[in-house]
Amino acid sequence: MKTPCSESFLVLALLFFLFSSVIVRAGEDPDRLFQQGNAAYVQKKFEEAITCYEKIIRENGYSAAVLYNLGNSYAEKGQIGRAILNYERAKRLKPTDPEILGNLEHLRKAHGLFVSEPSFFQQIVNGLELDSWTGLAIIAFVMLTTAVTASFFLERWSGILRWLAGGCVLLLMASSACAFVSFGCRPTAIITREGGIEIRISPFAAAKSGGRIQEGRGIRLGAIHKGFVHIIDETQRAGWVPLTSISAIDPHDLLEQ
Amino acid sequence: MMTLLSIFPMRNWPKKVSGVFLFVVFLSFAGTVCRANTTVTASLDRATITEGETAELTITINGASSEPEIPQVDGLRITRTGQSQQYQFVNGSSSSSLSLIYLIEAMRPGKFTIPAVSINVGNGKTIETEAIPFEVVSAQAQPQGSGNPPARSENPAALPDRQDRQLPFLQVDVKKRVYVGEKVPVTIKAYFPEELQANVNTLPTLQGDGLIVDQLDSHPRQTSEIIEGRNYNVLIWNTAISGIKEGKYPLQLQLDATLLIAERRRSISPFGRMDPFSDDLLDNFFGGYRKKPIKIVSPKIDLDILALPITDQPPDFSGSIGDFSFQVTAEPTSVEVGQPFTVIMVIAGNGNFERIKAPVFPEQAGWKTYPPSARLEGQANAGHGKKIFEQAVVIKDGTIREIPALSFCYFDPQKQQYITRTSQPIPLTVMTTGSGGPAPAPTVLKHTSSQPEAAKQPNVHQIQKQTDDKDLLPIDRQIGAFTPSFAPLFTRPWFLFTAVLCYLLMFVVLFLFLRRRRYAGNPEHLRKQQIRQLTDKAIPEIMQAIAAENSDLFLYRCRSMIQQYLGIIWLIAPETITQKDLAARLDPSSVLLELIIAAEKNAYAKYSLSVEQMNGYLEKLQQEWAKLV
Repeated sequence: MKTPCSESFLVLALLFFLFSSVIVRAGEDPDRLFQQGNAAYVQKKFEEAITCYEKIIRENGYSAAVLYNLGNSYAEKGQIGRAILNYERAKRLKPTDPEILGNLEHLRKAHGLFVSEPSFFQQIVNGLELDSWTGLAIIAFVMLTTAVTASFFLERWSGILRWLAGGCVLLLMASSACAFVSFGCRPTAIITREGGIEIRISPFAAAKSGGRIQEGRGIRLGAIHKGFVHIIDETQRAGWVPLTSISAIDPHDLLEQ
Repeated sequence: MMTLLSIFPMRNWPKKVSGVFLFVVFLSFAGTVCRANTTVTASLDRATITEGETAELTITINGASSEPEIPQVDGLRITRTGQSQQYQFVNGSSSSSLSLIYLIEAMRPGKFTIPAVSINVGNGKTIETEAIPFEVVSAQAQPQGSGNPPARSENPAALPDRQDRQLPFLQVDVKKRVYVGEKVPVTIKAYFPEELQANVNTLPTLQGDGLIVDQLDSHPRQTSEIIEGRNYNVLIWNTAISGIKEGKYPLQLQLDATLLIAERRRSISPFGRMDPFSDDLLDNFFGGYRKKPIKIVSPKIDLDILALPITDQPPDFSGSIGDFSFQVTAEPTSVEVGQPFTVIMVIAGNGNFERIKAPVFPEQAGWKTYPPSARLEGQANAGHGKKIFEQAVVIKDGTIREIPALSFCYFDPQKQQYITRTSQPIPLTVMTTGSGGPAPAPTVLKHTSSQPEAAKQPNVHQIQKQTDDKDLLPIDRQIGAFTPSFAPLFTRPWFLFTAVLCYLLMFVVLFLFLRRRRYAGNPEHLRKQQIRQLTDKAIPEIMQAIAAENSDLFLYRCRSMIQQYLGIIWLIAPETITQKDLAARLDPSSVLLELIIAAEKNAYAKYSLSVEQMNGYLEKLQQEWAKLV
């Protein structure tokens, strides 16, 4: 039986949910926040722009445009490590975007973050991104499976289908190899400590230094031990650095480790 | 003459053979000897012939009929080609004349004389003609005349003598007083008489030293001129010369050509003058051309090459001679510190552009200059046009407000003095970073790689922590799509699912392939398969016969089935299996033998079976298969 109290409660609850959703929606509108961040950037209020962009990422996930603008903002502030980190993240989402690639290359050149000349095979591997090689491999695998299955049932076309299967095998092998190499060579983190960091030969602060690694340098993560992580940088130098001096391009990489 | 012409009818002589000219020559060179009633005259049709050509000697005897003896002359060949005789009756008096025609051929060039010819007129008396001198010239044409043509300061060289104008000649028009390094225009004309056929083998080349001539055009301008009533084909080159060193140097040019000389047919026809084939037109057709290489040399012109005056020579003079204007501009005129701009200097007029160097931009600490580039416009290579210099300058000091005046110095040969042209200073607007001037665009500062013009200029941007990022590309205006993570493609669920599915399918297909191959090579398996197939086919048919209660059909089908079965097992043709074979190979109590016997009996006599019997037989049959298989 409905009482006036229960009806009022229902109405109140309904209104609460309605308003809360409106409030939530208004505060979390990514487009509005994005434009706000852009406006702050244009007015050279880079700190405010960074705040907006990072909030968008926290609440909505990663967007290539947001990461790119965040990278620009950090670059304008002079935080090169963070700038390169966000450009690398944007590049993961849009590997062929010319603006991302252009700003990334510009920052690297401007700060002397050069890498050695890639070998011929490396140049071939670098011709496509990891996801592109992987996609090529799965397509080749599917085509191979289709060809083999069809040749079993369609004996009259078995000759042609075997040739097709052979080609798919080659493509699968090549693209898999390139994907493997690409995955193994791409940086997984960036040095974000301002001014760079000393590489230690052992995972503790008092260990001997093995040189200095610049802010913004790309590295590959290895084992983690007591707050230190083993890294190999783009110039093939290896050593230990504090976990706090780096940021993984994919945050899940560090969490998994 | 008219009587002669009436007897010997006139022919339409070509224009080249001028009858009037021959008549005049005849009158000019005829030697007459006056005797009472007997006269003898000798005449040559021309006084000068070219080596290889022939002349016609005519000896006319009046009042006598004896023939003369022509003495031989060294270097000449005299051949009689014909004669004519004429009789006249005037006022009751009769007279006669005899004309003897001889062909004179010269073996070599030189001066010759046809000697006096003696005629015996009778009564022991002789009369003689007068000697006829003539000249044979060689085919090589050289301008003849006394000395060089008169020197003229600004007028063209004098024409060759009238006689030499029958041959090709060169004429050069040039200024006589030039300065060292001065580029002087010169006009070279090659005249070829219209009636001559010639091929030009080379361009006019300079003889001697002290001068240099600019490249001549291999396709000169062609025209025609009339000089004193004579038509000439003219080739014209316009070029320039420069004196290398001070002094007097002769300017003489030489041109190689080949004359095509029509060869006159040496006809020794008995018809002589009346030879119907003796015609220049036919000579041209049948006679051919002879090639004679010639060298056409221009008259020598003495050039006076003067040294540039040393007094009052400005220190920045670099060798430019002529008449020029000088202008300076800059772009852009509104620049930032460190931003390059271009200073454009244009020198236009007439003179030696190849010696003009860029005016010197004054060196200062407040800017940095780069080597200028130069290009020519118009006909600067020929001495008139423009030379444009472009020089990059970078401002380093924000207090600089103008481009200073630049100067260009040259020597004017007309005024015979050095002239310095000075440009006006050019005001500049120089902006510095944070100077309060025009605010720079807040976000858009172009990337260096997208500005090819900037890439040509030196990179003058200082790379600093806060300022180098001005070259970043602008921010994105569209937010785009969101993704929760950066997980690579091979970690996505659908990718993994697809891969696993493909793996499984591959395994299954592989398994089936192997199995098929295994069975395909096994005869026992093949046989079993055949039996199975046969059973699947035959048993239903037999059961149909049972259902139809058709004993004949039942027996027929059972027999067929047994034959096929045993054919597979015994590996023999089914149709060859008979009761005898079964009896030999099977147990006498075998149901297969029993059914075969029943089927054969039914073939000859009715052998009916009941349904129960047929079912019983079928059951036994199936059991028998199991044993056999």
